[in-house]
Amino acid sequence: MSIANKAQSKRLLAVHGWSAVILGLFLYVVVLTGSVAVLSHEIGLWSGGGHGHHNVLEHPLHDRIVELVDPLDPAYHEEVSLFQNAAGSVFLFPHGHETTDEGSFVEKGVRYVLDPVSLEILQREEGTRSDFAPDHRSALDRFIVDLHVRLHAPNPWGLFATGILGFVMLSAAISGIILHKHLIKDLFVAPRLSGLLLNRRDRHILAGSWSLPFSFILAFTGAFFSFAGTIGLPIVAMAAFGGDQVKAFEAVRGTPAIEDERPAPIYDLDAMLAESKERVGSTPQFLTISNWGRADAKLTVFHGPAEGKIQGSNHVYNAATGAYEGVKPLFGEKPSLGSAVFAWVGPLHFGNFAGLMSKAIWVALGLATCYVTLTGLQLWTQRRHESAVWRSMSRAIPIVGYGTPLGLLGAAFAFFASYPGPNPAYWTAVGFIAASIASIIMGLTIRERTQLSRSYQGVLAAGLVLLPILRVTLAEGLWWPQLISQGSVIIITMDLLMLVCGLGCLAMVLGITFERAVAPRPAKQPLMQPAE
Amino acid sequence: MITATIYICATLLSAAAIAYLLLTDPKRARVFKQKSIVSLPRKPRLAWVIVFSPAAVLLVAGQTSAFLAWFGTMTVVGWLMAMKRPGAGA
Repeated sequence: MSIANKAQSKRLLAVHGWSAVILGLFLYVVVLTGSVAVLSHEIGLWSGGGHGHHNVLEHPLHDRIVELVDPLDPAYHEEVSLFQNAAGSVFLFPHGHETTDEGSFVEKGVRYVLDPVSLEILQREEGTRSDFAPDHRSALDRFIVDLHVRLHAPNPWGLFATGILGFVMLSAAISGIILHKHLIKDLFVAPRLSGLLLNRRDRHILAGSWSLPFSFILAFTGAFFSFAGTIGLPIVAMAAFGGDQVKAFEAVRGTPAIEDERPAPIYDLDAMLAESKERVGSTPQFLTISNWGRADAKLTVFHGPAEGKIQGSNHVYNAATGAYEGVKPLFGEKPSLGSAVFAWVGPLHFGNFAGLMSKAIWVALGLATCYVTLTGLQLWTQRRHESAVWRSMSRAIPIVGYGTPLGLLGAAFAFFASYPGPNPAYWTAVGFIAASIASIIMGLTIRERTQLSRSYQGVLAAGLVLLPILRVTLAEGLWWPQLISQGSVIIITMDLLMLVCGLGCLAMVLGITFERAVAPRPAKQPLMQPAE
Repeated sequence: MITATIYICATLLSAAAIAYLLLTDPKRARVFKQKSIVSLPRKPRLAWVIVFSPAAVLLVAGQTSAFLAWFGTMTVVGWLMAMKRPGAGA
């Protein structure tokens, strides 16, 4: 099975190990937060307390949108988008497309935040997307997503960092395949108990081998998302559009071949949305209207994936006449290979194609990758245990390993404590930093490893069990009877998930590990096999 | 609902084939000095074909959603099954 000789394997092991040692803990943070971010929609709904249940696209909105958009600067009529986030906030954003002096593509317009039921204006801001204040209701899920996507570093540096981590994961997966000579033979060999080092090696290799296909997929698609906007679009714009990113964006989005600038009122949006719902069989998720108030205005309605499919679909209407014009590809006006391939990238990375079922699987895949990362680091430091430097490094593994979920727990606590106050986004970040610092102090003060792990697990257990209670008591969330009456199954599921995870941590404190649960009787003197 | 049913059936079939491969794996038996409770014939190639057979069926049937869900589940389930050490007397 080996495709490298001894010297090549040694060099490859150095690349595999050193890249992981230098960037492995950052990779762990990105993958763990990514696993949590898979549930960002559910977290938004859950942390919003259940008040975001009212779907704005299922109720009349035509008159109100016309009332808000018509009087605006015609430059903002180029495109109007309407979107409701998981926490329930409705964003109406009439805008135009511009290129800044630095050559970046921006969307400039007026952003309204509307009440989902009354459609009253809660907030009105004018500028580009980066100028707008974050939505208070979705501060927690936005914080987690931003931590995963760009580690809260400024653009584009954060995206570069996570993109590079994607490539590190990709290179670790490739070098892992080449290094492990008995990948297929060892696929069913459980971790052996005859030595700590061998046990850690077996754990790392077993988890790494099984999660290999999705390590590739998640790493590649993640790196793609990091670099597509920051490097991909500017390169395409430079090569094919003389550096004009607006033109490049419009070509990617697809602009109608024939322009008709004659004024024309917008056809009944409610009627077009109802027709789209009936045609596709699901409620639309968001909509955009291009060339508002013109005869060539188009309404594009996005629907989630149909039964059995992984991609959603865009349905286009003539927004001046209400006539249905067909399904629009993701890129351009006509179906293309690029559009078909790109349509797979999102579902493969987000796992959002079959509701909670596929999301749960993607969370498990992300956690398996976290396990591979941490066991790999443990293996590397364990092999160099004689060195004081590596012993210090080995202490960082549980600190980051437990510190990241504890940081997220701190962020959730701070969000609930500050919501619905004036600035939950700020306090959510403060909560994360405070909990992370507390985790580091714990890691530095508790010297004994088992005691340290159990302390972390105990805090996690208590925190997770408390979260549903805080959601109701501090953040004015709805309690189960009210949620059941309005059919909010997701929030109850999230509450139960917190309780189950909390009890899982408690079981670990009590020493009831998964391994002991599945293998109550240890093997009798397992036979040693060659290490590699 | 159809997708969920197809996904469950595909997962159960592949999981059963993985369980068979696990029980009949020679290295696993050797490492843990495992004596089989039941003697199973070794047909690893056939078992691998069964493991992957849902992939072909799901893709041909256009059930891409069930295919991806099945594929993701199998990598996690396979790992968790392989993690289980055989009992001392087993």
